[in-house]
Amino acid sequence: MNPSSGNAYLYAAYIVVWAVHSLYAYSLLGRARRIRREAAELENQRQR
Amino acid sequence: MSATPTLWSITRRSLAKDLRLEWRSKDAINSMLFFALLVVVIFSFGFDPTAEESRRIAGGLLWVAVLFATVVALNQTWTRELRNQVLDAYRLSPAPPQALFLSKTIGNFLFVAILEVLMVPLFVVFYNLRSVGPVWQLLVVALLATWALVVNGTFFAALSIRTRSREIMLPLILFPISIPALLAMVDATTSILTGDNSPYFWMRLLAVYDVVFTAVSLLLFEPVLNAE
Amino acid sequence: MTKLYKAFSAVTALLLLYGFCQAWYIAPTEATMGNVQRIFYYHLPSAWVAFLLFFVNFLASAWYLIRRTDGADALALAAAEVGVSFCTIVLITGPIWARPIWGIWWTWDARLTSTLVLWLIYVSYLVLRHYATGGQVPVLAAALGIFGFVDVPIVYMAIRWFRTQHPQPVIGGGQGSGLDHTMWVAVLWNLAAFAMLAVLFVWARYRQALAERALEEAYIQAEGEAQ
Repeated sequence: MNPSSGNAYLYAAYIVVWAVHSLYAYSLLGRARRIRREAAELENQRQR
Repeated sequence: MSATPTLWSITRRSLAKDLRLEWRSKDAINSMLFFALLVVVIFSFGFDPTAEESRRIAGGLLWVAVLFATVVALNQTWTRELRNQVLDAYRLSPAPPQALFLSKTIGNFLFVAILEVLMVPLFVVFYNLRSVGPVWQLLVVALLATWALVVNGTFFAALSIRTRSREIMLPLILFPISIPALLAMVDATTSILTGDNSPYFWMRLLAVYDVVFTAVSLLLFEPVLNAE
Repeated sequence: MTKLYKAFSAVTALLLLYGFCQAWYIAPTEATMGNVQRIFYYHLPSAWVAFLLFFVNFLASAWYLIRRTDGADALALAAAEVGVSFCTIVLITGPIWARPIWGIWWTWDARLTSTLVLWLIYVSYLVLRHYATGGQVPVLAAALGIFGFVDVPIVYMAIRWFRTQHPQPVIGGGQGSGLDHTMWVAVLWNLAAFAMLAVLFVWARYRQALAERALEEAYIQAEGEAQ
């Protein structure tokens, strides 16, 4: 087999690896933002 | 009843109560039976097998039908106890939680066994089944397989009753864990029906599965029952 | 984010970069499979990390049932989530490798099938966590975590036996069969890198789970004060 004949598959797999990890990292960031916002809201409530 | 109630005497009484309730209402059995009948009829529309083919697929069809019907019964197991806070009363009582679990499991086992007794003739008629292997092996497989479905099912029904949309929750957590048991019961039944392979490995696997999960369920039922 | 977390992230990034160089340039091209074989450097480390995380989930679940600490529950949740994410990668990169090598995307081979069943079990764990409400979630989840892990050897036995009765695809070259020394080096570097990445994710998720719980309690307390 020509060594570079399967390159498309390798690229696809590489993209999948980082797509899944990025999605997970993105979900972590989203949750962090939500936690920070809710904590700030709570602080507002308390001061009132 | 003896002066000091033992695990077994409590189990027996609780089971007797469940059976009497079921005898009077016939909720679980009726809905299960009708559901299983529907599954069998719909399957037979989907396939039009010859006698040889039907031997090969009947094991899978039978157990899938039983599995779905079992879920119908399992969903009703604990809801009855929620209605008048029976579960809370049970939690407060000094009775061992394992007795409650065992009585529910044995009760479900009996319901599913009755269902199977009624369904097997249907399968024989609709699919022209005749087993090549000995029938007593089928009986052993049925007993082991039913216990495998019911012991996990009763436990997970107790889990899913605490969740939102509990009817959907039960199959979602029961099916993945039960995959090896399902594989074993389907392949054991098919091997006996066709006589092609020895079913003994699958029977042993089912036995191991039964023992392991009965032990784990008994061990973990107390914290689950008392979870707040 | 703490300083330690930042430092850890930086080291992980460097390791990932080095792992990339190892996988794409330093490791030799496999004779029969060509560059497709390099998928293996992502596939295998992800699988090992996923299995390890499921084991961590089991330990944390058991620990929770014994000691009832919030930390154990948070760790169980974090390990299961990150484990499922890594396992997803394993299940997608596997077929991408199999297509050019075996000529098919998927086969009900023992390893593939057991990995799929494992993935299903831990997805059901996350579904339970999502649907259960209130303070009982940790107990229910811990029970399911233990059930899931106890199931793994049975799944493995069942599926191995199941496969021996059915035809198997011809595995050209076979992964792991003739693995060169330099290829192992690339595997290990990538394993280290992705294990570090998993630790980063689990760490972050663990702290978030604890923060969410603290926030919930603070809300309840604030409502109590308001009344």
